[in-house]
Amino acid sequence: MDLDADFLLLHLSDSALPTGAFAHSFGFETYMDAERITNAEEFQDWLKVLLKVQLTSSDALAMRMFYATPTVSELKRLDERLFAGTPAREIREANARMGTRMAEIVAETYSVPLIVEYLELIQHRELSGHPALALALATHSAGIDVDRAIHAHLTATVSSLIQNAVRGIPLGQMAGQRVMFAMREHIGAAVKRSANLDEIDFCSGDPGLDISQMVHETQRARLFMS
Amino acid sequence: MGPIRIGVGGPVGAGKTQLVERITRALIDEVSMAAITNDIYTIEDAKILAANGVLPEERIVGIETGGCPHTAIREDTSMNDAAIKDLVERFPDLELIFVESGGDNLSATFSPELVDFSIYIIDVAQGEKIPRKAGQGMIKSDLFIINKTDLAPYVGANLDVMVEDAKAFRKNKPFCLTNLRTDDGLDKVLEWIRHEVMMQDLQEA
Repeated sequence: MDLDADFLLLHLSDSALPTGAFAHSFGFETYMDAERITNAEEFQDWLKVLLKVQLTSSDALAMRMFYATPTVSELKRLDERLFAGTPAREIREANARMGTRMAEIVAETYSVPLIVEYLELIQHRELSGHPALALALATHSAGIDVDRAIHAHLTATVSSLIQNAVRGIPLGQMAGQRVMFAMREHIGAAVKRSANLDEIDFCSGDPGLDISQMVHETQRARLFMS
Repeated sequence: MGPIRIGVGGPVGAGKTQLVERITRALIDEVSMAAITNDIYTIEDAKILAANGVLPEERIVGIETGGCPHTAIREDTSMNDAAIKDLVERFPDLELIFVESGGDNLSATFSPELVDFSIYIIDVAQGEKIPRKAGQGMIKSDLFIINKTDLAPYVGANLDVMVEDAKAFRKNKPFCLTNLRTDDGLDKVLEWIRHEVMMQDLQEA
């Protein structure tokens, strides 16, 4: 058992990692505003769709493709594709800011090939930055299996969205924990599903999710930046 | 070296936005400034500052804090850091950036990675006993301001008691009494900014 690799995975996929995730709803606040999400069940329905569609075809698939070709040119291509494949401006900005922060944290703490280069490309505005890619650079260099890396990233993303829902909707703490446990099988399924996707599926979206994420831009009273 | 960053914290309604508005109005001809406002639910503070103040709108950034005003300035400052970077890129001449926190409880303190100095402001009408509650925002800040001194007689607050409590907790660190509606006491705040923050006396020497 490689405890150092385990440590890296637990450290970087902690939902409390300071990347600013607590300030982003990824569009569920639009449904809150429309009173379509008012309780744990409705929130869970939304979270399942976000996971199954957006997170699987963008974040999970990007990590898998980087593992398949772990080069700078592939990193650039994936970063650009992720940016271009995200229709809602606030989600692009959320990913860019959280991705930059994740890259900064990795560069500050671990010695990971490519991370300094990735960070410089982001700082020079050549790339925008994405948390899934920054994490993949670190987990790949630590020899962590791609399925485990994707599983950790999706679990952390789901967990921080649940924490935001507990605060925002609000939900009870236990209700939040029940949603978390209920998501276990869906996260596992998303990891498996991402293994069967191809380039053509990359960043395939759901118009309803995309539109709700765009509508959020003009919402008046907002707890979240996206 | 980038611009100096000053955090402004304090409870809702204490006068954080007004303080930034009055300071920027007084210094607009001598210092290049910008402001970031953290709001819990909206970017109303940014709009108020843009409508009432002298700072051009493009020098004001509003941030929603995901319901965690203290988290956004202390444990995870990512969104504020990104806003600062963005401002510095757009205005390379910036000398001073105010980071106004969302109205919060008495324990709000700023991350030393986010700001260089911090101001904590309360108002008299919130109760004479506020300094006595030993809030970390009041104790740790570099400058403590007790605002709305004109209201003291109407709410039964004794300013002497508030001053004594503030001294007891803050030892030798500075504090000011202000009424920002009339700019009464603002000169002391400006003096602190010029001498302690910008060290203008050193620059001139």
